Amino acid sequence: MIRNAVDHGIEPADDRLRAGKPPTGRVELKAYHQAGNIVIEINDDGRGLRKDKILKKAIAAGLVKEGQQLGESDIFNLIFHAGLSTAEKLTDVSGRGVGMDVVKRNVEALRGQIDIRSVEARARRSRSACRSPWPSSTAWRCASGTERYIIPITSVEQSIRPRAKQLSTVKERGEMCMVRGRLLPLIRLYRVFALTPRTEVVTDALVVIVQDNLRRCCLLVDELLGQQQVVIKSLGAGIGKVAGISGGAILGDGNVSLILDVPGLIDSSATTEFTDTEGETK
Amino acid sequence: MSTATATPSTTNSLARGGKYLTFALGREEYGLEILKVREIIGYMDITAVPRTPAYVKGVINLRGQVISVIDLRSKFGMEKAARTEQTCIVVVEITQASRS
Repeated sequence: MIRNAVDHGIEPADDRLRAGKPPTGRVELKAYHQAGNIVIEINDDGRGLRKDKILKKAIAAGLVKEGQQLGESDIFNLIFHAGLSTAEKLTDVSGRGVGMDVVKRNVEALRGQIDIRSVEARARRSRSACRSPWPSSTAWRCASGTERYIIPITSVEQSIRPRAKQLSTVKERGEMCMVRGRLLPLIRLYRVFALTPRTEVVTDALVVIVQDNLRRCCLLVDELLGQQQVVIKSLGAGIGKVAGISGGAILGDGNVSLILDVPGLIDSSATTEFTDTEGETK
Repeated sequence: MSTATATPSTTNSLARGGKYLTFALGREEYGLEILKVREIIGYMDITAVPRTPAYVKGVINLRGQVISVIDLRSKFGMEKAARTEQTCIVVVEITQASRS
């Protein structure tokens, strides 16, 4: 992407002087944390993205129909299509039509996102930010049986020691927990992962209220072990995707701890609850 | 990349024009193409991963990379053996295609 900024973004010195810019181009690379994401921002003070040019190329490549109305961000997103290059001539580094699509694919493979912005003012700035929801900075560690898991801090709302009167079982929906007037499904983490917990008595365990921005549920764990800074990694290729686990985190002592996939757990709660109810009727 | 636990013998035998890493598994001897072997490391604490087949022992941290560990004995349906000093993890490189 930096190569792209230099070759596509920064215009020849003459053009730059004509546009009232210093002859030497500038590419800025920034990386920072923002709301649990890692943002990598690449800025250049080059000519920016040429909407008309991108659109023309896209029409020629058959990606867009003539006369189709597209918003600014839709047009910018076209540069992530394979086979689209706006460079006028081939150079060693650009104009080959591979580039941004590969960048996008790689970022998405890391479960990241890529945005592009461009300001066609005098300074003409094009800006790309890749954000990856992966490496969350802080996380809660919890224990269930002998295992330790990591819950992303952004997913945790609160944790409570449940009282017996808060618990109920709703027919065909399984166990529920009443928290501040709301009835939330209760997921026993040890059942999902087939572990042996320290206690099966809910009132001796800890309920962590987790959410994925849409839904909430109660996750039953043995205890919370505190917050920790973690570096998030994907699980090894040999395992593939594991339901309820979104990745691995390397802890300070070098050991690996698994990160709970909160949306995945909430999804699976329907089936978990069903099995629980079945167990109780028998 | 994946790994396997086994008890190795460090002899490299020349066979079919290539070098192989041979190791003992139970009473048998197995070989791995040497070019696929990244390194051999001692046994370490393995983090178990739930909802995976029994032969998946879990994951380890190999210098900042999380890699999965496969128990070859279990994968080949052999009986379990106690971990010894000789037990180790062979880190092998697997390509995208052969992973399936």
